[in-house]
Amino acid sequence: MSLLARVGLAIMAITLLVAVAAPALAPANPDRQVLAEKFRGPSAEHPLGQDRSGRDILSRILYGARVSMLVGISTVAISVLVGLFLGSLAGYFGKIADEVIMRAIDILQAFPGILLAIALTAILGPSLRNIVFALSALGWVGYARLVRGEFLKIREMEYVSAARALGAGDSRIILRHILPNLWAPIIVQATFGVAAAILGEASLSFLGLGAQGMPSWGGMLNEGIDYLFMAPHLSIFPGLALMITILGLNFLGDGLRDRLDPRMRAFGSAG
Amino acid sequence: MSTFIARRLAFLVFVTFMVSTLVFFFIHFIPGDPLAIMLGDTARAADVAELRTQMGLDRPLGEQYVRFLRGLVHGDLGRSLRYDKPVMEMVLARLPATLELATAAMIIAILIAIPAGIMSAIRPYSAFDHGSMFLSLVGVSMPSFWLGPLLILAFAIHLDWFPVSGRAGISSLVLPAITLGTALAAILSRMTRSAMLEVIREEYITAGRAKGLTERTLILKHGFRNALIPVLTVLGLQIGALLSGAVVTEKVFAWPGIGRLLVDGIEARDYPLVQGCVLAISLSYVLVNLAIDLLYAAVDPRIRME
Amino acid sequence: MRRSVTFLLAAAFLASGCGGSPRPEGNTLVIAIESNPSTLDPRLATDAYSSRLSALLFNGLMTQDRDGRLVPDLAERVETPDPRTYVFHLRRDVRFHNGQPFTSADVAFTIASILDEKTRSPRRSDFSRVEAVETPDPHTVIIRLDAPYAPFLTAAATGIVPTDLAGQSPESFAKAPIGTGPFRFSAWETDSRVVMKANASYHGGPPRIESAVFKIVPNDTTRVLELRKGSVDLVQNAIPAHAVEFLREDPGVEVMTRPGINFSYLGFNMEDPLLKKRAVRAAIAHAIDREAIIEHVLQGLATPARELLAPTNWAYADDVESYDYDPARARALLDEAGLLPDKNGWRFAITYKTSTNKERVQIGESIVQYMREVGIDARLRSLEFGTLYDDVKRGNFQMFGLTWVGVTDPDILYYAFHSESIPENGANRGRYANQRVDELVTRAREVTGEAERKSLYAEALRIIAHDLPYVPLWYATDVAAMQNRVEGYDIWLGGDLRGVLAASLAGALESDRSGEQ
Repeated sequence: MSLLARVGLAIMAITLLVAVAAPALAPANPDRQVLAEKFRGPSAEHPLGQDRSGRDILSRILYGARVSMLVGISTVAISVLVGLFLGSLAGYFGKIADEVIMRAIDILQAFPGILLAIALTAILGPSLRNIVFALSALGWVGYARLVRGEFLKIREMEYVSAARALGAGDSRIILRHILPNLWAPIIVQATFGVAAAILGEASLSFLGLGAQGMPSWGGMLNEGIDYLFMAPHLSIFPGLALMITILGLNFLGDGLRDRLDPRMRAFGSAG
Repeated sequence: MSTFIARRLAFLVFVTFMVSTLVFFFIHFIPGDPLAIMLGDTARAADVAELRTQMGLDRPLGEQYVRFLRGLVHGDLGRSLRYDKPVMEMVLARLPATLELATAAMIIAILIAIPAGIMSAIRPYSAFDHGSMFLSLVGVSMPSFWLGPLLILAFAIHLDWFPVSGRAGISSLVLPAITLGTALAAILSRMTRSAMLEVIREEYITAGRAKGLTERTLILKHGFRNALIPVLTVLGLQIGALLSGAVVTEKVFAWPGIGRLLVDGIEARDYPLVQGCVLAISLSYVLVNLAIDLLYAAVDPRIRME
Repeated sequence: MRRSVTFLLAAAFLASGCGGSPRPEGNTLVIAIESNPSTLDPRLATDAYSSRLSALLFNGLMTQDRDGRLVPDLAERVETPDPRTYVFHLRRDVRFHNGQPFTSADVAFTIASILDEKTRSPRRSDFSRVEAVETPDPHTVIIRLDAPYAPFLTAAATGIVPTDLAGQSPESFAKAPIGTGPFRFSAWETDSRVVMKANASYHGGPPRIESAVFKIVPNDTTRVLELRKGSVDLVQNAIPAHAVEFLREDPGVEVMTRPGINFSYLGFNMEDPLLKKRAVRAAIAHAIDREAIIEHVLQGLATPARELLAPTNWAYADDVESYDYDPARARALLDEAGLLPDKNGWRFAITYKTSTNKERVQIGESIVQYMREVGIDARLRSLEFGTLYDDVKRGNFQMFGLTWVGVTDPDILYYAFHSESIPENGANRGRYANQRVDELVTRAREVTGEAERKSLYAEALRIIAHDLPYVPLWYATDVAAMQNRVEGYDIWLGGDLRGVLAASLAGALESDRSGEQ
């Protein structure tokens, strides 16, 4: 594994750890306001300073990792599951199943995602679960396309035909023979998907539809942008957290691609 | 070729129909009453009810849907509830601004990403490659509502090169287009890099090299041409993100595009307006992808129109 | 990659040819506003910017002056021979922008068109008591009501449109409205800008600027940067509190403030099993440190409020109950009501709904924190405006936060607190019901003497302050930030933009002022 991929993996591991252990790691209650201490810069007590309501920025960033990780990972998990299922249906059975699913994908892709997100959060209420739901509603499309494409390739390969000739059932062929070949491209895609979902939550925050009742990096960034001139630390620290995590995910994704994608493997692990 | 276009046109009609249906039911399921928002607190209940009848908003949803489809067939998108103007007129007035912004963003992205991607692929794992990779990662990880104000601060206030916001001539297009195009540039440059790497390794390049063709000719004439296919695919897929993502950029830069019209329309529960905007965005997406499909053929004669 | 960025920027810069401040030439004032008006027709205006902009193009029989007092405008004077009859003597020197003289026929037409359901006017209910409009001569209008209705004079401030819309269809009138106001309509690009030209023959004296451009800039940060750059001359109220401080440090910008009337409050659902207890509402009122929120969140740009009407209002009551910040008292009240903390320290859970506006969210976060400190497990839910408004109308809330904007007529108490004003019939969203308040606010509509109305309203305000269907929070301070070259600008109450009438630009040639009185 390349150095960058290792760095990426380390960043992800740390972020995940922070997300899980936020209550233990955070020096303060992230929601506790001390209005009189608003906008204070970094100090011994508040290493990253305090925000517009005097809340501890470090603690908010640590807790914010939870929202980002939760949104990123669950969105991708749902998207992958749905994409895998529908993509397999389309790719393996072809014909009507393929036609129906591919047309649905075409329609969804032509549909503005922003309307979908606003509509879903407005109908279902702005909760973390519904944000994940809204982001997954379009997120699965990419995986479904990917899976279908691989299926079309693999379906005609000899060992699958052989298995079929030996009387293996459809589900057995899918589970035992085809899926194992799919995980590499999916994992690569998923690392980028996590990054996209984290940014998606941030954009929803800008439109006022982000996570509520808990700090999120996107939300902090959106709050902080107003104070870019007078208190830049409000947006710089969550911005860095976001950027480092996305960097980590991309390093990891690239590294995995180099390693797992046979066409790229030829380049070895240089760098 | 003509059957291909006929098929695509049929597809266009199909997508239009499905998207219209989807948006119609979606927007009607959102809680909220357009008349309450429109008339405010001072209107009498009886007046509101009367207006509702007048506008046909009290009819069963199925009936409203049929009426909407009938209008659509005749090219009539109805009247905006809030502005009391024909939706078609409003959408046509605003779509160009968004298309202009999206096109400029795309051009900027292509101008930056393709040279950078090719350079990276020629010298993989060089300092240039790492540098451009790092920059592109910074690019994807910066939300546009953050990048936009930063650019304004630097280029409109400190350097005084461009206006802060609004749409008045080409100079006002630069900052929003960069804001919107940055993420695309990042994705595109990486895509170009990996597509080029793959192509460079293929035999005919090696063969060409053996034949003594210059590196330059090889890269540009053969390599790039073949690498263009996956790049075009990504571009086609990203158009949707560009049109959708334009909302945030339009808001930051007070750009009078269709994205803002859509979001404000949702807020006011202006059903016909939302339907019109979504339709316009979806059609743009489908048409751009059709154009890209035609480009495929131009780039690679091996791809046949089926 | 970096080099190509720079190159591209340079190319675009050369293409654009100049430094990017495309300011309109000449004596033009550029004002940034937050949102696009829905209409410029005064008969149809509901949202704030529709009213504010149409007030520059049209005049009513009456109008609110810079202090929010009702004064004659197109009427020279008004007589009320009996509580059901209003006689307006019209000015004789007024012309519409197309040159046509203003007469009583225009008034009759305007009222008739508002009452016509096809116009879809939200003002229709205000005029529903009009029984007859008589025009004995071109300069007199007699309006007879079917019952005494004191707030009618406020309705009479609705802008007057020309008879038969000066021959235009409603659609083309909406696109290019013709009024009598100090400005003539010039252009309106939706979500981009509204342009007006000075009406050189305005009966009140022409504006000192030649034209006004209202630039629609939805994003707070961008609006502030526009002002900072100088491409916008003036922003009124549409500046987040924190940015005011930042603008004050800018030597090129002048910041002007004035105590305002826009009233923010916390509304309770009086049908909620917990909140229908007065003790619980009082405890919440005592738990919130409004002064701290004003100082730190609003940067001091608000005045604590005790009632809906502002101190500048003629019906303001200065002796109503108030609820100071006293968390101990709040806890004691809740203890007495039997709402004791559980093992986690929570007495009960409650949800506070507000919009997605950033400042509202921030205020909401602080309010929720103060409630949590006295053991109420409060949660903030910020909802997209359409959803919030729907929830609030339907009573689907426990607590909500909203603001009354530009209230000058005390009849608002009827809309907000009469038991028959529960939505859809009014704005009594909390379902407050008090028989005595009902009687008082109804009676105050029927009498026309100001002193008598004042004492009726005073009693109603005292009862409401005690019953606490709202926790009054504060009146927002009106703020105007402008370039130094803007001279003579004056803040009118509640976001009214008619301050531009007296504004001029230093260094710009003034328009022909021969018509000035």
